[in-house]
Amino acid sequence: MFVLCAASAFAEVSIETSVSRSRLGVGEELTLDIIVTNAQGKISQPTFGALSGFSSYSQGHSQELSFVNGQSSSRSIYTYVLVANEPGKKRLGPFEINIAGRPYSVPAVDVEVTPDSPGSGGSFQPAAPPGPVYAPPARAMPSGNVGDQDIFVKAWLDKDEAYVNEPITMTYTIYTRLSATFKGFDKEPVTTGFWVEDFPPDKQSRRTESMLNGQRYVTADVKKEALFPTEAGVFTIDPGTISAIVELRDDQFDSFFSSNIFGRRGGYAPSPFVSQVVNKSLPIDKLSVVVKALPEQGKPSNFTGAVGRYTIESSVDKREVTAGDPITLRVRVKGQGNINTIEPPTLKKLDNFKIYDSSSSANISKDRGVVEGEKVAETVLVPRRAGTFTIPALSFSYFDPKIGQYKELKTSEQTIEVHPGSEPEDSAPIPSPGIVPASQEDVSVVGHDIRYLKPVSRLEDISGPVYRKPWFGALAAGLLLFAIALFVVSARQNADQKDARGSRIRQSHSAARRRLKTAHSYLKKQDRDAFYAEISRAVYGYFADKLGVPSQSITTDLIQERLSASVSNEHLVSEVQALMNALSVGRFGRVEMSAAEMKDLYEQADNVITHCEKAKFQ
Amino acid sequence: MNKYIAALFVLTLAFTAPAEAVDELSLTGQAAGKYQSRDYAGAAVLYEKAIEAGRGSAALFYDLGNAYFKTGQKAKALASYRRAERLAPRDPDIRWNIGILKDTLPDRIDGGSGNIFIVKLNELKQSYSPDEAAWALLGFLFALALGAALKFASGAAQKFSSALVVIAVMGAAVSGLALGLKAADLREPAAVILLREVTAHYGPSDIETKAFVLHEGAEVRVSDETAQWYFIELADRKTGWVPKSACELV
Repeated sequence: MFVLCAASAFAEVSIETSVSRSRLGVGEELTLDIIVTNAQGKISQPTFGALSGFSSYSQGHSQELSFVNGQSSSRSIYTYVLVANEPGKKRLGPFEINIAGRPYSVPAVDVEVTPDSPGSGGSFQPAAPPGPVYAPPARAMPSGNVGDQDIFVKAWLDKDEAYVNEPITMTYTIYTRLSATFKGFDKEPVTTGFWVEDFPPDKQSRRTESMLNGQRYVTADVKKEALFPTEAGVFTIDPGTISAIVELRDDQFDSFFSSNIFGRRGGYAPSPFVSQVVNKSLPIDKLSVVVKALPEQGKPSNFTGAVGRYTIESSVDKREVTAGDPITLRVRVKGQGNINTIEPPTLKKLDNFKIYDSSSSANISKDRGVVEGEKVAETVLVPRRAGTFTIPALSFSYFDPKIGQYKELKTSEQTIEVHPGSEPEDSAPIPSPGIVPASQEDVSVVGHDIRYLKPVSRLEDISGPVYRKPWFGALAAGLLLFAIALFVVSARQNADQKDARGSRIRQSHSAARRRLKTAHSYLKKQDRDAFYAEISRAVYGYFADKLGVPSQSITTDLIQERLSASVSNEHLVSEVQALMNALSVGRFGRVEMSAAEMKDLYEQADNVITHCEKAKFQ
Repeated sequence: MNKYIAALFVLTLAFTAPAEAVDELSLTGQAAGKYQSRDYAGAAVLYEKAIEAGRGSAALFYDLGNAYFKTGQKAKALASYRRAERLAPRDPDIRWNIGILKDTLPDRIDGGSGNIFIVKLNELKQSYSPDEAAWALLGFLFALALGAALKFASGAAQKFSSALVVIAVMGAAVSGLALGLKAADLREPAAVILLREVTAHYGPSDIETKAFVLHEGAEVRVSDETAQWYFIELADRKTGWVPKSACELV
């Protein structure tokens, strides 16, 4: 698109250098054409050495001859693809070319390599559109607006009727009379009811020319998909809308000369007078397809839905192992069809082997215009005991839509030699009598349901929870109050018992005082017997209370013993002894006592009790 | 004192002694026969009749739930299972069937408290019935009274009394707490949505703003009511008013 042109000095020979773009990013590529016009004689390959900052690849050499208005012209084009490796301003060339033994200089061309992809801003020219360019023959190229007849896309299926899971190829073909670039989908295709596998884009789009309604078109297949119907029925496929970039030019003369009829990628020298680049949406007509259900007749019991054409083989990684060592059994299903959905047969159960879950891997190739590949299922087997065992043949069935029949395949049997291992074997050897343990498996649940009825043996009141019944509260409160009442009573009783002795001690003094007071009144009345009795009761009662014993068991010795143990007061001891003696004399001696003696006794008793209290006698 | 204890014994026995209802039992037998011959609707009618007499059991409610479930009345089945569960909270069959039933319900109401303490407490609360807690409380109170009475006895019985009182006080506290928790739960009765779909409103009327939609078998708690409407709360604390006819109290 950006051309530097330099006419060589010699005769009519002209040499041009053209690049497809003058600005590009690191890692992007440009096409460099060296165009030699009207050269007479043999042209040698240009000396095209290593270019600093670029990797170069030769794209080949083409020649054109044309006759216009009785004049002939020839063009020789050498094409190179350059990939930019480093940024900066670069000059490509000058090169040298040898025509008929004479060296000619090839003009240099400047390009700029930016650190990354050049943005759209700042550049007066549109960025090179991605994807292949379908260049039409220049003669047929119209100018002006793009009509629906100038460029359109058709989608077509390779068959209108297919079985479930039989691949249908959908191809998008572009018909163009313009220079156009396929961009992608404006509207994605709607393929409900199909499993879709995209074919990779053709590296070399086959381009053909065809005549349609008296017009010449360049046609190319831009996209291919394999559709696998998932269910039977009549389906409509909406292939979507394709978007293309169309290039319009108005300088027909220039395009006439600079274009080439081969439609080589970037091969023609683009005109500098590109007037228009148009984005064009190309709607595609809907397609319909009838999907037939697979026939029920002759359907093998082990059929799992594979449709296509397959082969099967099985292999084991080891034929001789020791018991307990794993063996891998590989089952490989290979062929054409929807490889992703097929299920290779696997071993379910095998005596003498423990079987571990199998894993499968798929390998799909779509390079040859069909979906093909293989799926490998690997199962790990661990022999339980020594011996020679056979892994049975596994069968796999598929439906071949070409002949409309089911086919069944079988793998070969595999014989395994198992040597006794060093570890004890799983189960007892055969000849030993007794109980042979069964090989156990987990119990698996096969269905879910509610459990069965319960027998109703007993009925009870269901009018409400017990705690809401009035009697419940009454009973609970009654029990609690009853218990509390019992506690109170028993606690009081306990307290009384504990207190009896303490109160006796506490009240001993006041009781004695009370009696002494009574005795004093008898003293005044000179009632001798009553006086003695009261004095004795006061003294004996006092000591009995203090010592916590009945007053009958009070003796002088006991008092003396306890007194000397608790109070070390010799004077008090002798005082008590004197009092006791006086009391016993007074009570039992029946001696006539004078009023003075009675008063003495009273004072003596009073003193003793007072002193005892003072001495804190316990 | 012994006289009182004897009287208490008699009193407690009088409340627990069951009286058999032979007639209703024969009804359940007939119902089981119908169930076995896959006449689930007929079985449900007979079970209902047996319950209408005012007496029941966990097994009876469970069987009725089964009959309802088999006729496709999931909400009624769930209500019946819940009544059975209240009487026999640790029965594995009831729990299993509730689990199976809840798997078929459209509404997922997630009460989801992440607090492990609350989760465990709820699990614990599920493991006993209010009647069990009530009887345990009465038993411990009785033991307390007995322990108090034994204080008046002499010798070994008196020593035993203190241990009995300690055990009884702790037991009564625990069972009282358990009963209280249960009673707090039951204060707001549970209900099951009967209709295939019912819209809860923000007020007790159809003209109030719609709050959310519940489906058959959704479990809610009823915390208030008007003449025609219940105020319900979901486990995830959403609240709304639904017509009384749309749900059944458990």
